[in-house]
Amino acid sequence: MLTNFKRFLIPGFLRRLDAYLLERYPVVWRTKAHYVLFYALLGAVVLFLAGYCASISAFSVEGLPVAPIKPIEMTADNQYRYAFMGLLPGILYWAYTQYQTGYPFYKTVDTALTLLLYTLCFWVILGITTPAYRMGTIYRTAWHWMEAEDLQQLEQSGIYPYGFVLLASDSIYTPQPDSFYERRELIFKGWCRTEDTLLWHRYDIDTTFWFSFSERTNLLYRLYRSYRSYRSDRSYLSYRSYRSDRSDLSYLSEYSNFKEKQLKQVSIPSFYGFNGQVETDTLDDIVVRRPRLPYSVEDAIRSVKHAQQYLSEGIFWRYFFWLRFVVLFASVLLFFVPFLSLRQVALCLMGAILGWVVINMESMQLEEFIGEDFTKGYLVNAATFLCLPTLGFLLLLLSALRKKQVYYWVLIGSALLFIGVFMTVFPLMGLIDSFLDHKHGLPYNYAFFGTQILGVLGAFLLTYVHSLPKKT
Amino acid sequence: MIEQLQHRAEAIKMAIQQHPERGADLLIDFARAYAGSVDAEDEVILKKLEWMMAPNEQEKATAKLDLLALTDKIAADYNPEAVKAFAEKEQQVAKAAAKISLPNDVVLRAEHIKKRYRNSRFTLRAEQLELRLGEITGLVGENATGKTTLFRILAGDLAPDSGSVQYTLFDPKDRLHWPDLKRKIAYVPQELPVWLGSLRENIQFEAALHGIRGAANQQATDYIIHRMGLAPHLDKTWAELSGGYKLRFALAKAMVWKAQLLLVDEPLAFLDIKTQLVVLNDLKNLAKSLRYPIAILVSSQHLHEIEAVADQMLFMKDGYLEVLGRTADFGNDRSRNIFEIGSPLAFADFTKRLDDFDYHKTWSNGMTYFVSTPLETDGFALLQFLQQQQIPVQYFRDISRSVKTKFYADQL
Repeated sequence: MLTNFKRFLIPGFLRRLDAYLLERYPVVWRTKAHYVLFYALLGAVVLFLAGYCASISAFSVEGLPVAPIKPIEMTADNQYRYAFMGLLPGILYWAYTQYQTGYPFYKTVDTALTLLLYTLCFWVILGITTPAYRMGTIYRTAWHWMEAEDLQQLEQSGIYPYGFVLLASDSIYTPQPDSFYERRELIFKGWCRTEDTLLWHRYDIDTTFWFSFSERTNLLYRLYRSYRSYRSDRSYLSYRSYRSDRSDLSYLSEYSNFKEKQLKQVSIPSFYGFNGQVETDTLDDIVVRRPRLPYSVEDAIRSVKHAQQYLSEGIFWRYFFWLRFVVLFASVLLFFVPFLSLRQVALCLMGAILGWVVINMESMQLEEFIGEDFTKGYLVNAATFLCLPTLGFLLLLLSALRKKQVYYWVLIGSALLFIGVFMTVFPLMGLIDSFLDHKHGLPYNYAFFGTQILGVLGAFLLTYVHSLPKKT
Repeated sequence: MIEQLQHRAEAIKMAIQQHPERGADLLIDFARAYAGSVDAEDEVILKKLEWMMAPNEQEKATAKLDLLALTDKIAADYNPEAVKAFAEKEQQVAKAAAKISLPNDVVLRAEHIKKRYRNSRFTLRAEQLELRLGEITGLVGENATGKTTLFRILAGDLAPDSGSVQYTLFDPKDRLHWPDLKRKIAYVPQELPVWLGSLRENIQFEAALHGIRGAANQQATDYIIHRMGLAPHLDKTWAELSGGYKLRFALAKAMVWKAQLLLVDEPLAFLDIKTQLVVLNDLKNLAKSLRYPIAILVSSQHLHEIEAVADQMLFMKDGYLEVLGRTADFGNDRSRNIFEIGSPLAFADFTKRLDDFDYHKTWSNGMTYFVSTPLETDGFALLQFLQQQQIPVQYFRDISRSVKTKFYADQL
């Protein structure tokens, strides 16, 4: 039964490849990289298709696969995180197979090859499989959700809900329509130009305008919030704005269009299902047919443009190559697993999370007496993250120099290295940008690179120390 | 002769039809006798294994047909002159092998080893120990006397407090680069680590790691699996194996890559009598192999079985290692003969009935009785006396030249 199930899961060519590697390349076979790469790429295809086929709703910004304004930060994206959580059991099973086979007494070159294969596998898992669902949705939104002609027409038709933009000079009395809308149209178009410029540079706004990384995020976030509140949430609006909103002209940017009753753009949103139905209103002697939710139309257009921008500018590759800072951490962590018992691995993980929390709490306390001194704070930060792996590395080094495997030194040393590496990589999992530079999202901290170097050197050292006779 | 050959071939084919496994065994003997080379025999062995491991009836039927075809081929290719020449050559090789002494190179030399456990205050001491290629060294001793500790030290798993272990064959300059050394030492510990994954893959992996790659990998694995009788158990998991088979798999893993130093701690403990003989014979053949001689250190409580195959014996008592020397020479300098006797008589009655016999001392270990006699009194004389006195004897063994006497040194 189980054998049949395995046969179903593992195609014939993969079984043959497995046998081939076992007989000829045992180091590669042990890493199970062939299985990992095959299933990771297969998973990527499945996830991509699932993302591509996912239903898209324009009724709310949350329902849009690509947010109209907010930049896509892959690691901070929920769809990415859910995909990662889904893949996690597979990654843990892979780690378990590495624990199962133990670590043979390899040559140095074999250890290097093992680390290299782990790195390659993690790169594929995190760089191709995990974002595949997200990429499916982005790809569909960009190129296959909306016809190019329709998109152009919607863009040019100027559906902008500026009707309720309030000015200081507005009174509670009904203004003259011409002057009221013409003035708002002028102001609103100015806003739109600024917004478009910002959006066009949303992924490079830090370099173009010399904003900091966090400033960029804040700026776009504020823009996003104001956009939402102006357009969708009536609770933000006063009575006067409510009145102007009720003018039923809010979805038109071109007042002249309205006057000329050229409302053909109504049919396109209806076609794409942006609106459940078309409403008909009467204003004076003019009969207006309009989509029920005009703001969704605008969101949808911006989403498509955003998705196209994401793909055409190759933003994904920035993330993909940014992974070079992460995959080595993951490889080192996996490498350490066969040298520790499962219980020790679990304890190390808990210790690392606890340690990270303590360091962060301590950092908050430290700020009181370190103040704004960046250098001091930087050094304290680096030292706190580096102290554990450094201590662990030294314990292993001492054991190696003595040419004896001093049991507790090796156990504690490898555990400290594991904890240190995990503590450093943990914030990178989208929770905090402790180690990311204020420019280009690149790591800047000594601790970041220091821990990686210690981790890789520690892996080589650990294989050597484990071959030494034990000193009890 | 040809007629007889044909007749036998037909009988084997019938046996293969009815019971392929047994028929294949007959075919192996047939190939050995009539093929005139070892290739045919190897081919039959592998074909038998193929039949045993065939996953479905169709493949089993194919393997059976191949066995039948092999029978015909061996019978058809029979060439009396070639067989005669092969047999003569084999005899010449055997004679040459008997004359040629094995390299006898020292693989491992341990000197002044001392290891102390602080908590239990147990101390192991080993002054001098040499393991040589082509030799089996037996290590015996009571429980908790430090045998496993010695094994671990020699295998590089445990560091001694003082003294040195030199791996003269692998590490002539005594650099002690442990990752390299560990790859060359095959150590089968008493407490076997759990194997995870396929049993066959574990053996293949070990062979591949030690440079046996490609087709040779499969061949070596198939051979060792067949030799150790493991084929019917390949589909089991480690947990499903009995203690005996776990050890056999562990030995297969250690033996598949032709290590030059094999350390086996208590291999016979979980084995049935038949398998004990298989394992010991395998160890003996491995050690004495002309092409790949091995130095083997094996510990066991089965004194007589170990003595039967060991070239050198070691004895361990209270943490102290005593090198007893060559098994063949053991007891040459004894002052008494010692006999172990099993009898239903009570010990006092047994001793009383020996009054008229010229013996030195008797004692009992609770199960059997021991009689020490002057050197002039041999076992035959003692047996004659026992018969005359009509003393019932269930068990009799002359242990004068056995290491077993070391266990009763205080009685001597």
